[in-house]
Amino acid sequence: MFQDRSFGPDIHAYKTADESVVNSATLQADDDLTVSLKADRKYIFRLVLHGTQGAGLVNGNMSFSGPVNDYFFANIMMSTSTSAMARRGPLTALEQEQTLVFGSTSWLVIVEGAIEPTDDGDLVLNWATGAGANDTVTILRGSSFVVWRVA
Amino acid sequence: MFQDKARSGGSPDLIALVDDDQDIVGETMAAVTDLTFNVKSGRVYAIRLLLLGDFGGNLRFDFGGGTATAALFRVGEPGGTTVSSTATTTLAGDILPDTGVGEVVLIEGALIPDSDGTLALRAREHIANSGYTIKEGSYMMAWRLA
Repeated sequence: MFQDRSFGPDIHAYKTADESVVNSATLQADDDLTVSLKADRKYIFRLVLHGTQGAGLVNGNMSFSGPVNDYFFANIMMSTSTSAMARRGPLTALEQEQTLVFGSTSWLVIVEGAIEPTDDGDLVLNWATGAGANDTVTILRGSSFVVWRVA
Repeated sequence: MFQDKARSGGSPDLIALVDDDQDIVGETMAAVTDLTFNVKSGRVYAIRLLLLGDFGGNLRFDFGGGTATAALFRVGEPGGTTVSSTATTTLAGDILPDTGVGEVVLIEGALIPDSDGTLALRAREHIANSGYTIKEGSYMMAWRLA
């Protein structure tokens, strides 16, 4: 299928305030990074997450929840302690969890993927601190979740 | 050069989307169905592909399946645990993703065509097998920058 600018309007969400999780490895829905999708449409999405973690370098964990789908997949690129971007994942199912080894007190994670829902529903970023962690992870204001409808 | 196109979310200008799973069989480059679009001579494009499959690091890719020619073409594939790029300056140059890349391959690039035509992805087996699959939903998109 090929399209040249004939696709519909974008959907987007962004963080209006910093959000922190302290010492909890239980995945929870992000306060802002949720987008509503319609059944039988095809979407491409991209999240850019800017964050920090405490000096204890607790790392994080993420997954998505959302509507039943014909397919879902995503690629994850993230900063590391050596400053190079490293690949994590991929994710090939909504509830698949991915450990995020930030390696530094400030970090960047870029997630890009595609989904074709078969039901209406919200695509939600879930995240937490790393397992056994005893420190804080924060996703910063301005982090974004952009979705393009492509069919 | 900076341009503010005042478009929410920076929507891509061109999108091609794989409609059905397709097998990639054999060690000869062959078109990946659906992953092609038209480009214009002299324009500047940023391109991005995300391919889902079951191929691990066992497929090679190139862009030699289209009719456009390039004054500039450069792509990279950040894979594995570091950003290891396989860069090429010709459309038919092989891209071999990192063997640690798993089931999703990201390819980023830039293109300035010097003729109107199509940009088209091709794939072949890197390590002979009974065939790998590129999955429905895989996509190629481009932003026209100039």
